[in-house]
Amino acid sequence: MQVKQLSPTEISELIKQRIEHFDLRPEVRTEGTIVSVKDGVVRLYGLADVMQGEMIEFSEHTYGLALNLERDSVGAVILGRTEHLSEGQTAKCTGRILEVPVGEALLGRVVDALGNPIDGKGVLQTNQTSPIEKVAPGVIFRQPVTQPVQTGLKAIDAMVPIGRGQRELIIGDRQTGKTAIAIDTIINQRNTGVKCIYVAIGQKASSIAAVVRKLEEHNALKHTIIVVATASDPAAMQYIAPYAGCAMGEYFRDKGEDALIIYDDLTKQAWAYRQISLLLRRPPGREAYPGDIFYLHSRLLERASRVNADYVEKMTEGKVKGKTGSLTALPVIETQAGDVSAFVPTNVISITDGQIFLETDLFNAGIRPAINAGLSVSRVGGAAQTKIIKKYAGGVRLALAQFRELAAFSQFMSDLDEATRKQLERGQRITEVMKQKQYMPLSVAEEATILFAADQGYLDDVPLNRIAVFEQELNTYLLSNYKEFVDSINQTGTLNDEIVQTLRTILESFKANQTWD
Amino acid sequence: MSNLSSIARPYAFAAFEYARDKQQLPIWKDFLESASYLAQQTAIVKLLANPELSPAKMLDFFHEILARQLNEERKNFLSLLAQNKRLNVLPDIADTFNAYYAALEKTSHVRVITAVEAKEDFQQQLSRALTKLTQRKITLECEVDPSIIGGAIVHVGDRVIDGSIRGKLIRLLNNLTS
Repeated sequence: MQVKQLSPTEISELIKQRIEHFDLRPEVRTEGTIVSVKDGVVRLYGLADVMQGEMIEFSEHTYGLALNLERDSVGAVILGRTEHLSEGQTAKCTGRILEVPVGEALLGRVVDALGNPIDGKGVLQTNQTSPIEKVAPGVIFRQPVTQPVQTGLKAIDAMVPIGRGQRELIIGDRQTGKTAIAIDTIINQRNTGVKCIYVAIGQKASSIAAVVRKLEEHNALKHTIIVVATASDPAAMQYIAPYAGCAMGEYFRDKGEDALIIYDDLTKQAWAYRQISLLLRRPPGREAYPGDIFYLHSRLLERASRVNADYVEKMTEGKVKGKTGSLTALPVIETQAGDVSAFVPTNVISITDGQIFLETDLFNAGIRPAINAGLSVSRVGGAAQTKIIKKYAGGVRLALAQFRELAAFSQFMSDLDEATRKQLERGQRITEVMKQKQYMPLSVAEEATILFAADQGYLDDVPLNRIAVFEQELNTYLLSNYKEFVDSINQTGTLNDEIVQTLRTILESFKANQTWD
Repeated sequence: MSNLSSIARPYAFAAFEYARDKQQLPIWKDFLESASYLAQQTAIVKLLANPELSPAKMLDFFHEILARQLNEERKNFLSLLAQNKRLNVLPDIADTFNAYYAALEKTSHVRVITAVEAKEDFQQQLSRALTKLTQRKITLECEVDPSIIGGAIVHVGDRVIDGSIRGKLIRLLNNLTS
């Protein structure tokens, strides 16, 4: 006889335990009746005791979220299937707010917005859960941002450095490489101990599958949780996905580790929330968004923070002492035709600690990552930058910004004076140096060496179109001949005369002995 | 239980306060219940939805049938409803009125569902227990539903106390499979 597959909950010891702890007292609950079901929104009559944000249980294990408490009815969104719900059915209060599973077991997994695994790798081996909506740590539990998150992208680490606990917005039109930056950053966290959470909202399932595959290829999935609410999921799921991902990230922050969360992208979440709000008949405001659209993003991004050792000790009940935790957020916003002054982009720009602004023109001109040096800033990351990069990248952002202005202007001039010509020359070289291929994040030492070369004029006699090859050969040379030096810089990132001397030796011997033509 | 309750509330509240001040609550209650019953009849529902029928005609019709329960004020109440084309809201008005009345009298309507017919002494015992629990006078309404297998389910307003065997089995099932 064929034996059906046993589920892990069917072990007799477990069943015995559960029977023992089964509460036989009569259940007291508050019930309501469904008045209408439409477009993923239900209206309920009754449920006098329901609270805002409380989970409501419908038939067949379907849950909803009470969002509108009105005089005669309760408006709720349904999380999941709606086909089996109809007018007249009962719904009951649960007295709980929505929770998702958290823990180490989620690393390497792909889950939906409710934390259910969707990667076919079986049940999650965790019994810890956390509410999706939590209040961010208060002022006294916070600490300044001082440690860097290395993205592995020269342009970002040099011009708009990101610190652990910072919120740095990635903003740009479609097809400008926003997700590419996020993925490279995740890949670069392979050996840093930073746990990553990638929240995909309103994307095509095929794009998400491609991301998962790429992360797997680069051995970066094992430290990453992927939270998915695809374009075909209900608006309610797309709305809660970032909060669910954030709860998973906070788990690591609260036990004194560092985590990085990417919300890709918050524009789609704002759309989903707008849809829900309009269906719940909340008054529309600018661009038809509801009045609390700012709070939607501010309360989410406020949870990204660097917390001090006291907080970690409190959260772990004294188990972890003397360690600070952080949750770094990289929200992504998609603009329409480069319009950063639309409602949601301006909101999120004002909430975050800086932005990386990507431009279609630069992307098409072959400058990838297509970062606009003039509009991109990092308001707190400077304090977290490694010494060595800070020293040699100091002038890069300004030089690039000035160069772009000058380049546009110089097209009208026939002959240029010496100073302008030099500035243009330097700008072109830096632009070339800042280019980087996808999925090839660099270590601190590699970044520092090429930035040093550019800053100290070692690239002046290298033809512009050979700079990429020069850099590639230099990195190979560096790794094969100066392994110890590279390791020490990667670990400390400090700068002293000895290091400068070594860098000079490396570049001089490389230029004397190697070819890059 | 429909979207009309927001419309019904001010009418019911006005009628309730008026009746309370004049100490005519039981009469008004009977009147509203009859009117509500009338407005729920299929033929009348159809008539009320018919735009060709003038409110005055409809009002005459109501006056005629409810003649025995009417006085000047209740006539005015019906006229007002007819004038505002709200005669179809009467069932909701009656429900809301009864809710106010029950709150004043501190009475609760309790629905009890049992698997077998509830015996008289059980009903009394239950109603004593519930009176103590809710601090209100109780009017019991008993139903029989064999599908709950055993025990009882008690509905007091929105609150449900589920002591049925079916409920326990479902919870056990959820507990074991979760």
